[in-house]
Amino acid sequence: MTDPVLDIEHLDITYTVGAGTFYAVSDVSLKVFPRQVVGIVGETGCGKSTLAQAIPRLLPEPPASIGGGRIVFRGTDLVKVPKRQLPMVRGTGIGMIFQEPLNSLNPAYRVFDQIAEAIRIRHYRDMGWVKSFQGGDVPFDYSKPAASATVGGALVRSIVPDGALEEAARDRLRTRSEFRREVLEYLRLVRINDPETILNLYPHELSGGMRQRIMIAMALSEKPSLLIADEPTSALDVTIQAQVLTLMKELIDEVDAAILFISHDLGVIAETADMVGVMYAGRLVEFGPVAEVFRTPRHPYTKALLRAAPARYKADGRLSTIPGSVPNLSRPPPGCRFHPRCVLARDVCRGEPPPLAPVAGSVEGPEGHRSACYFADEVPGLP
Amino acid sequence: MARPSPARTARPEGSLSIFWRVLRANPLSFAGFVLVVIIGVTAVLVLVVPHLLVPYGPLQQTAARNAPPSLRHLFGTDNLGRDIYSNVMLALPLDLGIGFAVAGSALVIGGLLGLVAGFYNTPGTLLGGLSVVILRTTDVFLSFPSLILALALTRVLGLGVGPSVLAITITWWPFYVRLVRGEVLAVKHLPYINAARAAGVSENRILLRHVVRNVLEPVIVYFTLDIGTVLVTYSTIGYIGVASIYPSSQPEWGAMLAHYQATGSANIYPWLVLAPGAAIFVTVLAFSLLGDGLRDILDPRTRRAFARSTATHDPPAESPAGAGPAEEAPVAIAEGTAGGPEARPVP
Repeated sequence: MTDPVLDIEHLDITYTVGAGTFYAVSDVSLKVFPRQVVGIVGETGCGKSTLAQAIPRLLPEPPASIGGGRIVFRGTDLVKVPKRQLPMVRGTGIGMIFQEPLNSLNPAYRVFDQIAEAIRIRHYRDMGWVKSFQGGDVPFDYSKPAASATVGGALVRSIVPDGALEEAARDRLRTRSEFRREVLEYLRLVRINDPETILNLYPHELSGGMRQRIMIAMALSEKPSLLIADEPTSALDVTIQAQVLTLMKELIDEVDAAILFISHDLGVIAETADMVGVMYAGRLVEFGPVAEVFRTPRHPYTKALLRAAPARYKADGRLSTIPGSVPNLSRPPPGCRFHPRCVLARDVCRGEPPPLAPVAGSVEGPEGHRSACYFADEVPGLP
Repeated sequence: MARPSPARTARPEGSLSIFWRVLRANPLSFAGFVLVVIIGVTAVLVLVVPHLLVPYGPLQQTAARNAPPSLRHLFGTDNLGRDIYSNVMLALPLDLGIGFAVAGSALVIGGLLGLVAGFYNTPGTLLGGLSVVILRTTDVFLSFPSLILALALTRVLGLGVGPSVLAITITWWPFYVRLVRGEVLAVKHLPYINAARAAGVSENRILLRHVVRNVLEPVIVYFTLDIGTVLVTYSTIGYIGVASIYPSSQPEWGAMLAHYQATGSANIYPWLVLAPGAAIFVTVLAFSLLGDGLRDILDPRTRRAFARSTATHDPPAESPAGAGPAEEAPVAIAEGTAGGPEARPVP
């Protein structure tokens, strides 16, 4: 078994607002393996976006704070990285696609400058011109080894063996046209037909779907080994959504990156992800292969959520809902957070929160189907 | 779909040519721009080659007393035969310089403090504490009426141009702190700031490259308008008589107004006050008009829209008809590219 790209263990995130504390993410453990697409679903406010932003430590701290747990990305615990050194870690392997393509591009810069900035940072880091983070338990593993410091001039050239000339050329501070070529490559990668024109446009001159493509190109230009897509299609209308999804699915095959796909749309997750995690009120309640989780959910919340999804081709009858309402995360219910709304709830559900345990009949290991319910076996019998 | 050749579309239009086209598209800001250029050139000429534009010395008494405007004396003369036109011209570099000096130093001081107060306002940190100090100090200054404060300071700092410029500057910077801080607060929470952060851009670079660039536009507009306001304020102080003395070897518009009004001759010989008054009016107007135009130029959204609307009847050399569809219908190309059968190089 290969090592996971991302290994989140018992992550707790709280927001302190005024006198209140909101337990946005509680005890979430999650593993993402290379080239795997892991979807996270849940309703608004369940902590999925908080989780997504916590991974590259993008949450404003304060008010957010990571209370406990580890976020191990390629051997480095990101929770332990000092705030000042965060920029050294962020652009190196974790790409991020945001929810709002309309505002995620700086309106003052052309498409070229937006993408070139990300490439430039990666390039400087590769060249060793920008200090790289080397703290943590294990030295940070960059996609490329830092090249030795470059010294301009012919002297260095002359002592470079013939075969290494190309290497030396790569070490030069790259010119605008070289950056341009690379930017064009990424624009083509995200299926932009006329990259030469798009390059010189400002974000406001692009449509929403186009902007999201640019965002994806930006995220990919860092050569990430983990791509976090935080509701990348939610702000787009349905046809554009389909296009962006198709693109993402194609890229999954082309780009050597694991993807953490956050969405509230069950259909989107079902289409794209290999594994899916279901979040409720800050906790991961179920995790497993998409087909298995959606066909035979083993947590009452997942079951209710799937039942509540409107059927696209039927217009009769009322939509099914989950009785009760989402708990206030400043005072979450003890034990299983779903128990006040759960038909299976018994006394034990109000005690210790149920652990995310493998369900009966599932394969062992990270590919297995797990549920945080004491009565997971009874779930398939529910209406 | 016919595409313009890559070589041409690849070259972004130069910012100078965009600047020019946006200006041309709006007659008022174009007028402001032309006026500002004329005023600036005149001021430099007066400084460098005074005899070219200034026929008489500031204190030189001619035979014509209280003469109405004529070819010999464009704006007439006063009771001692001093040429009003010469005095108005000689005051131009000083008044303009004061406008730039006060607004400029207020922009630099207030702008930097505003950036710090707006961007590093996390409570509990050292810079967060500093930002609180900056803001409370600003509040103290803003709680005084600035003109009264400037007047009081002028009394303390002494008579003359230097002290009064300093006095106005001291009352002026807090406005920039407020303006810049407000803009920074609005910008720093926009998603693209977080997107840059996610790309590994350091905080200082985010401030300099992403925040400052997006704050610049309203601030520069305010600055341009502000030059006029400073002029009026200085003239007011000059009018009250604590900044500059008139008549002197270095005349000043506000002091001129005050002098001729105080001596009572303005009622009978209106050109004595009309000329310096008009000079203030035209200068302030020019900068106000230019300020409005700058807003359009600095904002990429309006910039392109203007450039496009003028392009139809005034095609620039580097953008003939072929660029039309690309420029006029960005959304169309945008959607047209979806899933196109392009070469797909994997990086």
